[in-house]
Amino acid sequence: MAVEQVYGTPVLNEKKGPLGGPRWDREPLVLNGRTFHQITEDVCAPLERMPSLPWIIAFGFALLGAAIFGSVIVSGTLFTGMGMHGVNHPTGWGVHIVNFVFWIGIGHAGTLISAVLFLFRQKWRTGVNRSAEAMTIFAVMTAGVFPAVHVGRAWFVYWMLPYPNHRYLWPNFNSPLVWDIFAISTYATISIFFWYMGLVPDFATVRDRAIHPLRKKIYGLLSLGWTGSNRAWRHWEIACLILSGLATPLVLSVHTIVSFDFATSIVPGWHATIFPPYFVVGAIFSGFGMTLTLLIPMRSWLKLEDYITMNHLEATNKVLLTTGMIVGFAYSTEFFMAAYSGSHWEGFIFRNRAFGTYWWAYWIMFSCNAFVPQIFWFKKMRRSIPVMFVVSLLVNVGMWFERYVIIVTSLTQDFLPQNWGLYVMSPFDWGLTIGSFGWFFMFFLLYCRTFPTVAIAEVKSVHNPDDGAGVAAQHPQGAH
Amino acid sequence: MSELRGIYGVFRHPDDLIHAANKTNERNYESWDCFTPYPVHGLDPAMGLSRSWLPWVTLTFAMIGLTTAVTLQVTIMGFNWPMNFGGRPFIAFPDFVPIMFELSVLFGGLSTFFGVFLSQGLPNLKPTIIDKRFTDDRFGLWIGADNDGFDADEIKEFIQELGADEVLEHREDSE
Repeated sequence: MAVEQVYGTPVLNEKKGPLGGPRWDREPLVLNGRTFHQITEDVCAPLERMPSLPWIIAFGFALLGAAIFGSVIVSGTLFTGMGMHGVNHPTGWGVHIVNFVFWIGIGHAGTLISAVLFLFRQKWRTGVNRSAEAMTIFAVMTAGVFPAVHVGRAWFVYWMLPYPNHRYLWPNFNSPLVWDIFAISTYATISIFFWYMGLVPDFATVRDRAIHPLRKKIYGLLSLGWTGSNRAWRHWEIACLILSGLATPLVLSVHTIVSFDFATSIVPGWHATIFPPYFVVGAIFSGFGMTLTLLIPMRSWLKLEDYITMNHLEATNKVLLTTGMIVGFAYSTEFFMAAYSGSHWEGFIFRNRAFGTYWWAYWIMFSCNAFVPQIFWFKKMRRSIPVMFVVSLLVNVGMWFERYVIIVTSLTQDFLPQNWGLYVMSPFDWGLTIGSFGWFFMFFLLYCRTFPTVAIAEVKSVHNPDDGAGVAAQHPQGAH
Repeated sequence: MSELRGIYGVFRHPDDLIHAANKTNERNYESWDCFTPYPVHGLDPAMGLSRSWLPWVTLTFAMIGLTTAVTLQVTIMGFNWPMNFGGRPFIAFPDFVPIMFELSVLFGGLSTFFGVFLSQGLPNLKPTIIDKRFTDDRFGLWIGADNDGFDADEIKEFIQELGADEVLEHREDSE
């Protein structure tokens, strides 16, 4: 019986069923019958060859962006002062906090993929978790710059930490901004160690392949002397489980606390109990958007299509569709709450958001986040690379504008018309925003060239050893 | 002069290694191990290893983190420099919950990470790499020469019978 094979649908296996009938199998996570050795070869190959032309061009642009980022911070904020930026009365939280919340949000998808999907036993996570978590770490590194710049005198940033000092002053632990310091630094630390935990065995793989003594030395140091002993694997596996269990509530707590920065104030449009779940979902949504933006070029440039397959991308698109609808639902709920609370100020701020001075920002946000992902109801669209790439870019734009809308519309027009003002981003603000992308991509591109971009050991552990051509044939013991 | 440190067998399939580990475990060697490129499920019981004790380390350190957070905040806000913030109590306990959670996670997570590696004698700058294929696509069974009544020829035969692809000696220069 000839069955037309549609890519990404289950494969028919005649006479494989339990009673001898047909059985429909899922497509394997690693395609084209790779052996264990081929998995190692494919993932390590980009580390062991010269960079390709697209990489060099992309890295050039990223360096340019990072240079803009650095020069704006150094010459603008550190040497000249906060006056270079558009933040002023009444909008004290402008571009810095917009970008801070945006980048922290981007990070959340990496932890979600590596921790939450681990707990849910979603095996497709193994193909993408390494890169998604790298994205998390670089995004948190980018986000961390903004509060430091925003305080104006960045060299006093350590005043935010509780340490005994000659001024007899402590941070105010009643303030969500102090909670944020603890949340973000814990998140950054745990993400880095969780990531490194998975990298250690893979660094050992790279070390054992290395020919050049310097490469052997560097990867030998990074691998901490890992040998693959099962006595170590036994603890390693349980540690991955524990760290997933810790990272899952941690990632929820981080954006919850970021949303407390807003929700515990009395500013209309911010003072809402919906904020923690709304922010967490928005963060996951934006992070999955960025994951797609990064993975689509990466899998093609590094030739990882057999590991980050169309099925992986389709699963990501399904998450985008789901979280996009939750975000849209949250936007609508905010309007309902404003109307149902009967609060004059809340009612005004939401009418003003949608139809006031910044209506364009609001509708960019609403259409990019709630409407655009609806295209993923169609399987053809979920499996089309150009469509998903464009959608992922629009999601990034939409989620940046979400933070812009929340911060700017609430601050520019709050209670008293006498207190109103407009917020206009200065060229320095644009430099900071666009530059932050260069800074982020610079790290990610360097990572692509020096780290195993797919978790080699974890992919092997979900790979059927009999799938690889040649292994089963030489399997000496048969089945036991 | 190089000295024999142990005998190892190289296997191609994880199931063969589990089978071999089961048989080797019955011999009650002091010094033996399995080497795999990825965590193979079923190998721990085959080697007679119990469940890892690591969760207890995590729990202990998470509790230490929790205690640190409570002590830090209560001491600072309640005793060292009490200040009136909007008429709230000095020790406004619900406000301390986020940092209590964060520090528990931080301490627990870090202890887990260091627990894995320190308990295995890592970082080790000069590890003994018996066979480079064990981090790629081969599965190894190692029996050390420091076992009581070590008989190289007998062990080679034993590993060969378990179905190893190759049985090799590992030698190192004696100091």
